[in-house]
Amino acid sequence: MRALFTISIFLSWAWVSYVSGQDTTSTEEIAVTEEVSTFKSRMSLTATQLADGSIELNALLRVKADESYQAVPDAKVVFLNVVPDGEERSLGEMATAINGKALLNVKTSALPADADGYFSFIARYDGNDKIKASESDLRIHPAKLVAEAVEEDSTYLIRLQATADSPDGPVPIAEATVSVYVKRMFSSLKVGEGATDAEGKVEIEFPNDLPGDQAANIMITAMIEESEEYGNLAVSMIKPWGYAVKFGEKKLPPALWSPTPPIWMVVTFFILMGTVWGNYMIIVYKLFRIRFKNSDALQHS
Amino acid sequence: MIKISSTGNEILKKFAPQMEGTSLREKVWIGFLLIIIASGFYALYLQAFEGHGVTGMRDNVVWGIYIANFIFFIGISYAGAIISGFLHLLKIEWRKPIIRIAELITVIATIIGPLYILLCVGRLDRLHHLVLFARLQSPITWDVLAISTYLVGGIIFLYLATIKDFAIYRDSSELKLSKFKRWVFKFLALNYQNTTSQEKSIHVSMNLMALMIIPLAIIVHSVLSWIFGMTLRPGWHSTIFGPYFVLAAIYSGTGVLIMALYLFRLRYKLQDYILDSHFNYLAYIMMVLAAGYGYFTFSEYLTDWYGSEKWTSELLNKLFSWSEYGPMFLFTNIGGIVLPILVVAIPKLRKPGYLALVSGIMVLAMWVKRYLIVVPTLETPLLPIQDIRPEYVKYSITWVEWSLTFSGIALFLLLFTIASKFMTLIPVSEVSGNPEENIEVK
Repeated sequence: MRALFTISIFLSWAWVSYVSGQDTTSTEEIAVTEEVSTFKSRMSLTATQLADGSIELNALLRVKADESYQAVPDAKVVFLNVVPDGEERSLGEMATAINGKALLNVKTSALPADADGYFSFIARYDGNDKIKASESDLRIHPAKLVAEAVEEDSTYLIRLQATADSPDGPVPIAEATVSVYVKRMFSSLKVGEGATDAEGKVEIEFPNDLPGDQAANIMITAMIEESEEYGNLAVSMIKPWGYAVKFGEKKLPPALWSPTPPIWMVVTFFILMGTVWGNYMIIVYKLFRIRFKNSDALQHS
Repeated sequence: MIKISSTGNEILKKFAPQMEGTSLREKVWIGFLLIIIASGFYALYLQAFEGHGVTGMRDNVVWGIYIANFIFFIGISYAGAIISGFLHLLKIEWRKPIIRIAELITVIATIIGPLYILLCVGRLDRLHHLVLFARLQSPITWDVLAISTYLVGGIIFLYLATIKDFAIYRDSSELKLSKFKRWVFKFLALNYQNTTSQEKSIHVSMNLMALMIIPLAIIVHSVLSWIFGMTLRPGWHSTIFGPYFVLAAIYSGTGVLIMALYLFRLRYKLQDYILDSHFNYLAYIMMVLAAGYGYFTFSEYLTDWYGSEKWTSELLNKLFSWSEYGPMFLFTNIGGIVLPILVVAIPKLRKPGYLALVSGIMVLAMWVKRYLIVVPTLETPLLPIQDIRPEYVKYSITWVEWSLTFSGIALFLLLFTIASKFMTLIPVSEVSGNPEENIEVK
């Protein structure tokens, strides 16, 4: 018998060795040669001129890998302003977000324009061991898009005027396409479009059947997009032009997926647990009786 | 003073040295177990302070050897519950010498099993959330409630069966007990004086518990299986998982009971009380369970294989592949099904030694089977993962997990050793004067 037990112990040991052996094998498989390569980066710079006189610079940094451009997150981008004598002045630096974008808002009052009245910007990425440096420049003429919200006979109108700055005062921007967007949960929804007249003015009707927040408010943004001369021009406002949406908690039915379990499950649970624990209670009670009630006259055996 | 039979008195004398003090041999044994447990504590310290990275568990295989151990320990605990419950209700006399060991296996294994769940989960500081934010729809909640209810039931069942013995130890002049132990026995005996009403109360309570412990054990292991069965994963999402788990649990538990009886018979020279017939009866039970378990296994894998569903086929390829889990899968079927049936079926091999050996192999095979239920399925994810480093897909048991596994086994043996200091492993109040009567099936 001892020999048989020795065999069983040996078999157990052999099995343990086998499992441990798997461990070693997998460790060997882990060894992977890491290939080091340098990626070429690509910077894109756009600007949006806002109605409050500031400019939002938007840099997008990407690398080309696997035949497609992929965003580079957490990379330092330096924004520069080129002054008339060619000198580069730093406006600030920002790290790119997970989508590869870095945003910087600058006040135009502090920016020097060149002889033609243009602002010049550069977005620069200095690169690292794996990603090469890149930069992008942009030259835009200062301009402004202003908006007025008007309600006429239950019709909502947005009156817009686009003007460019000049030494002689504002100059109308004619024949520019203006789009109107409303902010939705994940992106903006285009709800209207129009072109400016000779005075740089346009009137766009706004729909009156959009859902707003609980106070019926809607964030409205009007934009002239991707103009070669001015970049983007944008103006935003919040108006109670939607209909109020109530986000009151809806009571979910009892179900597997809801916070409330199905009725049958609750009933079954209480019947089962009640039966078992009820019996436990009875037994504990009987144990107490054994402990405290032993004055039985009849002695067994 | 409670009277006991001459056989009971002999058993009491046999276990008296064990209960009165601790020999040098026992101290070495306990020291050995404590060293293994201490190594487990060191592993636990590393796991708690360095995180689960010290284990083989990763993004894909989030359950490993710990869950296999959990199912295994909860499984073997059912042997005591089902066997002692059935034999008690059927008033089978031969159960009496073996019932104490079976009930101890139930309680100790039910204490150790859930410890592996605690080892498996991260953030033990949030453990109370399991109760505070429990969802009745979750199989995990069912499992927590079922196992804790089952543990309480097992303790009550063991206690009820031991009250008379405690009263005997309390009143015995044969036992040279310390004041502390005498006080413990006095407290646990509940002032039992063998009066008619006391006898009746215990009898009724035992019947109640025996009636309840059987469905409870079945429900608990079914609930445990539903943690897997309710999940839409290949190899888990099966309607027969409930009965399959229950049968496997009783089966492995019977094996552990045979091993324990053999070792205790050898250690305490109990050949006059734990007879060859006891092994034969348990072997017959084991053979029937092996056949049932084999049938379930065949049915489960045949259905999966015939369906040829993509992910299930991938899992089965791993289980049948010689370079992956094939050797382990073969071992579970040969050692866990074929061998026990053969050994019990051949009369010449139907001896306590062979039965204990084949039970040991079967119990090991059943543990490997639990491992094969948990790990290969998790290594077969339904969705491709972003990081395909081999160690994130393939599970390998680390020394930390081995250490905690062996610590659990050591703790099981240690608790058995401690229990043997407070009770005789054969109930002295139950056995009759003639040992042969103990095996008579009435």
